[in-house]
Amino acid sequence: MITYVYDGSFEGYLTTVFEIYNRKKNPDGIFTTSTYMPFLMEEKYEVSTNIERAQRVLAGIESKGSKDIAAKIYNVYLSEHPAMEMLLFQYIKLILQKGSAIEHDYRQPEILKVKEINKQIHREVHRMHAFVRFQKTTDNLYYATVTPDFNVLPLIGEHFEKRYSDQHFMIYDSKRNYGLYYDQQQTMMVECGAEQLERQSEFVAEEKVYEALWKNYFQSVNIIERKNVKLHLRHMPKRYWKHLTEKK
Amino acid sequence: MDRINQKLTVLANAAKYDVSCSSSGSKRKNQDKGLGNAEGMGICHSYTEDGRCVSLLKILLTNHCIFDCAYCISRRSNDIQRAAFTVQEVVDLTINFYRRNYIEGLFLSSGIFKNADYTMERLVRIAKDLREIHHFHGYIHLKAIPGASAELLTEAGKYADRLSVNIELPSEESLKRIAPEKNYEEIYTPMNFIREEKQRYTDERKSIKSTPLFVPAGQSTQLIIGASPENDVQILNLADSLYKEQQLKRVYYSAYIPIPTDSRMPNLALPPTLRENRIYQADWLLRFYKFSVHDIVNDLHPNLDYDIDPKLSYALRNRHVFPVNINTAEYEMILRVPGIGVKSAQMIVTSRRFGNVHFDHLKKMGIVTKRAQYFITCPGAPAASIDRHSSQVRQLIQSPELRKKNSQLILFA
Ligand code: SF4
Repeated sequence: MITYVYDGSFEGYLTTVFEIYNRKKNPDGIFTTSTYMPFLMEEKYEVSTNIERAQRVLAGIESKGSKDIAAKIYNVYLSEHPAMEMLLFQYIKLILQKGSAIEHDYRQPEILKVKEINKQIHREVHRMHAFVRFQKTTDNLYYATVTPDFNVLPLIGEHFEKRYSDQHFMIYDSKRNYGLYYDQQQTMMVECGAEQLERQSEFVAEEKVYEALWKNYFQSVNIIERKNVKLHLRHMPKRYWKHLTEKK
Repeated sequence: MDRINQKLTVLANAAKYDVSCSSSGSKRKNQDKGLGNAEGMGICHSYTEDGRCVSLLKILLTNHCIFDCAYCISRRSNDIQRAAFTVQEVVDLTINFYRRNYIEGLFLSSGIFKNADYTMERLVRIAKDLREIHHFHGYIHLKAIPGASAELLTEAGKYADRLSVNIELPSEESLKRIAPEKNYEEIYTPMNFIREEKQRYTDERKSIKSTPLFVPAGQSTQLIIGASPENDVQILNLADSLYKEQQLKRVYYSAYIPIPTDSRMPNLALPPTLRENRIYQADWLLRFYKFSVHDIVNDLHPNLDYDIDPKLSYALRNRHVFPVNINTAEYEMILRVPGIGVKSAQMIVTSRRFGNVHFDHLKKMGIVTKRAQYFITCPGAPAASIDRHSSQVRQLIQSPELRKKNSQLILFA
């Protein structure tokens, strides 16, 4: 049994791939320091993250595969899928051996799985584009809390920046305790202390007015004769409701 | 604010019968750090309890109307509460909803007050204010009011991403009967004008890059289903010509919601939503699956089958073109197999370059093999399936709930 343990970062993961090739010892398991559980009779290798090595692996994937394939790999990493490390290792091995064309051979289980997870990630990204609801705070910040199924915040910044280039905004993932903050110049990842989160729950007076108008609008465009709750729930699963002004 | 809330209730309620909600297909980008971005795919920000997408702030400027179209809730003879927004109110609502990420933009329509130009002018004014004063680059869909002047339509086209004129009744006879003040000529005139202008701008842009956008997301229209006696061949032929000749981006179909207060209208118990659904499926086959109207409905089969979807119905009527060989057939033929969608058809043709695709692969790729098995050959496929008789296949595939649902389809006896 050979297991590799890394720090949980993407760079750490790529370094792991480097070490596997370097040591010529295929893994039976890859874990992060927080998912790792010791086994009897195992050979454990602790990877120390190395940016330069990570970049070499990434460059290899991009040249043997493509930029698009590298992006897909990053998406799978963000999915926090429990078996994602081993899946990605098999996938990367395939790409490095056979080149980018193999990406379209959906008869291969790893290729299909990577595609499937990417589909889920795209759906979640899309849901964030749709379901973020900003509230205007007394600090003139447009603030939204989200709890996405996957760690998709790194994938949604550009979209919001393009739309709201003239307003300060923050999208805060309260499950993973960090947020995207845009200051009309650039978007950055930030962590918020309790005090700051408190400030971000004080809204301007007109906030209530527009929330009421939006709720009213939402009710008024519904066609009662066409009621279709099943469809409604399929498009807007209940777990998203807690952040949706119109469903609160 | 209470007054605005009241107006919003009345004017959103009156606008909801226009089913278009798309905010896709524009090329308008954010510029100079303005507000909003309408390029690419539109987003449904919410879904109402009827399962419909909420993408735009869809309202009427006013529901006062000098016309009396029988199918319309805002018609002059209908005894309802009337309201009208001011220009500023619509602008404020749009901007504030947009900033909170509630919407992709505005879809503004209106009853006709005074005359066509007077109405159109107000709509254009709002779009202009949004673009020029508020530097808004989100999506704007305006209704082109039949009878409005060419100048106003041209101006509208510069500010709007999409313009639409609704045909509503799928034949001119029905239109005249139900909406006596309207005729097809008045509807087609603005539609033709916008199409030609858009073409002119597109040509110009080829030589002069800085040519402004003109209705970048194109035109759409709506047809009401079940308010008049046209059959599905008539409806789909009309839609087909609207796509091909008028170059419309979308035709929307709206199951008639009974407003049982006008004697010119049929008295349905429920809106014919299943029929609407089948027509949408057929429309989809026309646009993405390379089917012709004749493949779907024709003189022999003038109406869509409500028990099964139009693709399956086609396959069962045309067993001679099946089974399709998954590993050798052309992409177009693979697309025709029930249970195989556009994405999975593409997966099949890219994968088979590497070696034979087996029945098990198909299952894993997400193909509905329960349906497809009767129409394909490939290694591992259940051999007996393709020999079954069409009526048997129909029985095997058809879901029991669907059979029950049909009761709502009593139309024109
Ligand atoms: S002109 Fe338009 S708003 Fe007026 S009654 Fe006819 S459909 Fe309704």
